[in-house]
Amino acid sequence: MSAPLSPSPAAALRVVGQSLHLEGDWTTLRLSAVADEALALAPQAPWRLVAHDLTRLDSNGARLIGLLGDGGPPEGLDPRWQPLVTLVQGAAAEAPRSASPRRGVLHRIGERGLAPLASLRSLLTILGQLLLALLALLRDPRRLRWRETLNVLTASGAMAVPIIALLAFLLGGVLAYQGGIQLRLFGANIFIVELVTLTLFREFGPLITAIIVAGRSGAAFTAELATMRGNREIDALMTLGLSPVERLLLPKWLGLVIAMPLLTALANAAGLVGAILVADGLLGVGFETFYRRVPEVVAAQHFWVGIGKSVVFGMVIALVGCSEGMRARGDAESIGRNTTASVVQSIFWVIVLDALFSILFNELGW
Amino acid sequence: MDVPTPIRLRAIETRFGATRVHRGVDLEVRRGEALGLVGGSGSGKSVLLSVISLLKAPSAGELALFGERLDSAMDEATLIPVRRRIGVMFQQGALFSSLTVLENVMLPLSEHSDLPATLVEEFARLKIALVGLPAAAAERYPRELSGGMLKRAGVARALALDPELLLLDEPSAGLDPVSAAELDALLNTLRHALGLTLVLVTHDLDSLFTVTDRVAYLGQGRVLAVAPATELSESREPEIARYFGNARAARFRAPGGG
Ligand SMILES: Nc1ncnc2c1ncn2[C@@H]1O[C@H](COP(=O)(O)OP(=O)(O)O)[C@@H](O)[C@H]1O
Ligand SMILES: [Mg+2]
Repeated sequence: MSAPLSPSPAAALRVVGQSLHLEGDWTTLRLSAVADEALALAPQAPWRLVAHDLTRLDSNGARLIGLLGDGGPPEGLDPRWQPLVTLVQGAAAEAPRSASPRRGVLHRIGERGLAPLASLRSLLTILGQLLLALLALLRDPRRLRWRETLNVLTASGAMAVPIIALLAFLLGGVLAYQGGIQLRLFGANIFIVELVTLTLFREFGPLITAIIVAGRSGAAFTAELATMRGNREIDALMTLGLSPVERLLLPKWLGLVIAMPLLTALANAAGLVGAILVADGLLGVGFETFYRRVPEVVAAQHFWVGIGKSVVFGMVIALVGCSEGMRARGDAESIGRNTTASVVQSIFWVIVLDALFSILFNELGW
Repeated sequence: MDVPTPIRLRAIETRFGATRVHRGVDLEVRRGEALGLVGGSGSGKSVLLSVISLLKAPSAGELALFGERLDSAMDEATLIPVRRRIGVMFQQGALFSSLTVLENVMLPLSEHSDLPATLVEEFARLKIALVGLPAAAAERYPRELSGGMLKRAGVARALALDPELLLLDEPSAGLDPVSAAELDALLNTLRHALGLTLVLVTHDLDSLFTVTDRVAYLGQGRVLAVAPATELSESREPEIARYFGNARAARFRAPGGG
């Protein structure tokens, strides 16, 4: 199949006393037969090289021969390869052996340890820039890039409606099912309304929305900005006297801040539908009971606590997405790495903030 | 010689959707020659290199490389041995951004041969030195290199497997005159020492006159003429005359002819 075109044999070496006889094709893909042997013989260089039976030669072959010889051409070398050998030996004299400094363990531990600080610092920088841009916007609302903001609202808000509705619906069903089994044991069926509504509105609605938005939009923000960095589009914006914060970051941030509460309200509603369906079948607590009891026993503040949290989650997701994108180096690998980091960090901050909110609201008695 | 012609194109047509780029390209590149490929922007030079490097399938016509009729619909097992004999330097460099220059050059070597790692590195460093990059560039990432160094790194990677055929897309575009002249000299040296067949897309008239043996002019989706650069620059074909008839050509010819 991959038989060589030429009938000549692969590279071979013969040790004859103090000389090495080079035979066959010394070309890149046919060198493996002699590579190990040649490397073993190289430390005893210079050998006297004899090349009468050399059938073909390329630059890599010439380099390997150079490792064995004394820098001069082998004896009996076909004159048509003379220029190649000269060129390769000239270049090899300039090529350093290996210069890569190996980094110590301590160095790497230090680097790893400082990495989170660097990302925190970038987060705070972007936060500061966003707040300044927001102030400027308040002073002069005409500076709003409403077109870009609407694009973000479409891509991160409207397009996320089906997936969020579906997942929240399922989540609501699961909540009602798990809670319902317990409540039924006590004959406390009716309390399914409080259980489901409170957990959905206060916790699961905002959380599921935040997690999906972090995976969809936060990741997209990072990948977009990191790619733009790689193409130097961000530098280009700055040289044109345009602010990347105002044009790129602020619309994303505002877009998510608006989209998140709307999506959360949707998740709450869809979750409630899922819960009602299950509660009806499992506990005989149907739509009418929910319709009557929810406004009666569940204070509106629970709904607004969840919505308020979701606004903060939106800010954090957009902030992390932008910060990771802006600090990417722009090569293919860093785009992937920063996108992953963006999602993980967003979810991390969302859960940390959620815990802090729980404590806060508990103290406030909300 | 009994050695087959490296490239033979017959009535090649290519299209992107409704856009027809080539409407019957006939071209033959002889073994060991350096062929220049010129033509206006958008005339399809880069696309033609993609066809030759088996990346873009022509919609009609015949392509033969090293005497073997090929089309990119063939399975990879047939195409890979042919690809190994061809080195390509892309217009945008296309170095792998997450690898250092050294790793970029080592990649084809370690993938296509079972040579020991020390030799692979040795050979890669040789290629980096051959293209005239400073030794320190080997450990750098593409984003840390200047335009001229990127071009050289691209050539080094294309040369990694010692290809018989080297395809270069505008290697000297964007280089200062000194670097461009150095690159031309480098191509000449490499070509003669390594016995390369060279296809060179370029707008640089200096390269055309100093590196190539013949120049093919691509226009209206066809090869309008193939001739040595000096001859082609005297062509009466209006489109070709306009291409060469600019001030740069005149400026070059004056001292060159005297
Ligand atoms: N991937 C692509 N999709 C659609 N059109 C393309 C693509 N690549 C090239 N073209 C078109 O093919 C034509 C030739 O392009 P190209 O070969 O890059 O020109 P040049 O001669 O300047 O290198 C141009 O009109 C270009 O718009
Ligand atoms: Mg091009």
